[in-house]
Amino acid sequence: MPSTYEKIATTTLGSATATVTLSSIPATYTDLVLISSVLGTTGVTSNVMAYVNSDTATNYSTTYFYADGGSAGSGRSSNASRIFLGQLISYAETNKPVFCMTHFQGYSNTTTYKTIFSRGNSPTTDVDMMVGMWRSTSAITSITIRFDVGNLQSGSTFTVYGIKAA
Amino acid sequence: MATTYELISSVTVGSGGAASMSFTSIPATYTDLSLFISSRDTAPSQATDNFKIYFNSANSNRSMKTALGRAELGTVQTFGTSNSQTGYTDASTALASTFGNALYYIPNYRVAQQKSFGGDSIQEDNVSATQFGIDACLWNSTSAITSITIEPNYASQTFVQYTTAYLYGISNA
Repeated sequence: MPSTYEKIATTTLGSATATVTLSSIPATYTDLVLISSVLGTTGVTSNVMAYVNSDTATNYSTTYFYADGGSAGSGRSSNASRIFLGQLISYAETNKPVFCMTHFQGYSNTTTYKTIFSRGNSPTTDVDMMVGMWRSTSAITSITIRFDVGNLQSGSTFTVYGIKAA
Repeated sequence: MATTYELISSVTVGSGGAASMSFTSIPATYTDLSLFISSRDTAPSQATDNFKIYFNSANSNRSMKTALGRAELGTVQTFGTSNSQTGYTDASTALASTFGNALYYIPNYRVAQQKSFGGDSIQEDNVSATQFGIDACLWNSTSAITSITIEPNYASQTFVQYTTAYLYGISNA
């Protein structure tokens, strides 16, 4: 039985910061799962976003679905510099984290573009689901998480796990 | 390397049914929890019911946002609730032997923050009036989660035999 759901890297923020990078991701797994529990600043509208391998060029696209208790909808972004992980239309709050579970399928292959699936949970505002793509055949070796507005706050946690199919 | 997705405990409802399923004395040795539920309850004259999930025996300070897929309506609905339902389950008039399925992930269950968690649940019985919920849930408490209770949302009803719940621990140590 192969080991699965092995922790690769984890961090808990001790102070506010603009970005968090989980790096040195080995190519020895089949898929990755990123668990993010993200604290923001009350009143600041923001989205949880990510990019990989320090690539901030316009190589990302996202199609998303959201439901906020009053309305549900869908949208997308193309040729963006990062992907959405969650929290599309709402804001994180101090001491009330946004929880995102993000899957990176086939992250280490060097023949296809990378598909990314994420579920965002912001219980006071909305629930989100999105699929993204990074248009690169490079293996993913690092993941950087950030808000599009404001800092990630102290107490936010990020862990990436590796999943093996063999 | 820490063990992840380690079974903490499981519940299988016996022939007499059960008014609730509980996990108590959850150890403080993991980072996150994951809850898998396969359920059917006795809510009368309906194929679908909800179950509620609450922590530390406190059925309060709960809220959620849901995206609800209802095939017979052909649309996605959304609503918010407080101290009410969580996920979907098959109920008394659903096709025999069908059970709803649900999966919830609860990060940082020991951390002194409000508990934000999420999951998906389905009620499927081969008719058009099936339901699929995508849930973002909050327990507005900074207490560590030490117990989990799952019970039918319909008052005074029970989970039927073969309903199961599995609780797993995930560690990032």
